[in-house]
Amino acid sequence: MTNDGMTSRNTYFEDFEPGTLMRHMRGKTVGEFEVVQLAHLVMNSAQGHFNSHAMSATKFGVRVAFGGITASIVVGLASQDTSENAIAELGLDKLRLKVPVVEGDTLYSATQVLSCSESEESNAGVVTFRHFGINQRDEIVCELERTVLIARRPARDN
Amino acid sequence: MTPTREEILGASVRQRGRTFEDFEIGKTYNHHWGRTIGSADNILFSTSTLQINPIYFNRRHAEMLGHRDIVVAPMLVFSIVFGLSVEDLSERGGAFLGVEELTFHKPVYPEDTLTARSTVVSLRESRSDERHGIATWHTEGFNQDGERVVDFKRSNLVIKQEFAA
Repeated sequence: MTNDGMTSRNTYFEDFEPGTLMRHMRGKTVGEFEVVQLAHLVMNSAQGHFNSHAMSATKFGVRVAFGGITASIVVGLASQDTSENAIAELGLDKLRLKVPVVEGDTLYSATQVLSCSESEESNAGVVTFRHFGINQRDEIVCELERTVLIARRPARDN
Repeated sequence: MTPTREEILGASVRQRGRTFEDFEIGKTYNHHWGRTIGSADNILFSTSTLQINPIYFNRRHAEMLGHRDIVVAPMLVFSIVFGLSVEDLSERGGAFLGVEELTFHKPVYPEDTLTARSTVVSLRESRSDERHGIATWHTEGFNQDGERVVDFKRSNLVIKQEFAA
């Protein structure tokens, strides 16, 4: 396999080092689409994600984002810098949702590289990241660990 | 006879979901519905949540890496399997607290059909919230061949019977 410019050349297994901490450039504002439509898309039947009338009587006052979608956006915002050259997502752990996310909030993402280890596959290695989701008030809204199988740099690219 | 407006508004609500007291450790729920994941579902999800790895939206690239088709974004697989479990486990209200030990076992491809089941792992009181208990379930997602594609442990606040609406 060669990288024909499809993906970045600085996100191969060799490019990660435990301890590195980075913020990711892009943020994403959560709107009605993310709160309502994406909850429907993934079959989440809890009306707290799509019934404004019912939520107006709760302590939240408004519909809240499904935590699976919040985590997906936080992983997504980190993905180009961490897993654009991933062969497979292996798992998640220690996902904690700390602050509710509602329409109008903007999510950002930061990542700490926790570990890099060899894999049974000669062309890839395993990297574990800790991702942090951050809102527009600089609150940490969620954290999770994520383990990914990442391709080694192709010989031709050296 | 057509009911009056008062009779319609006064009809009892058919409740969905469960309260904390309904759960017992070891009980398993086979969740409803299932979900066939269309190619458009995956593209919509992957692009709108920025799952930036071309294996989730470029078939040729995915095939070059040995896949038979575009790969469904694992965060979508997780979210759908979770979504299918909501009515049985957490619909009645209470915050989703976290997930532990999630493993993606096999890739999922467009037109695969996912089903889900969950088993109650633990039930405990919340120190800070008398209205809710804390439940942990082990949830598993399967494809149409019965192969397990994902599993994880999820913890949630669950409303207690006496405080449920």
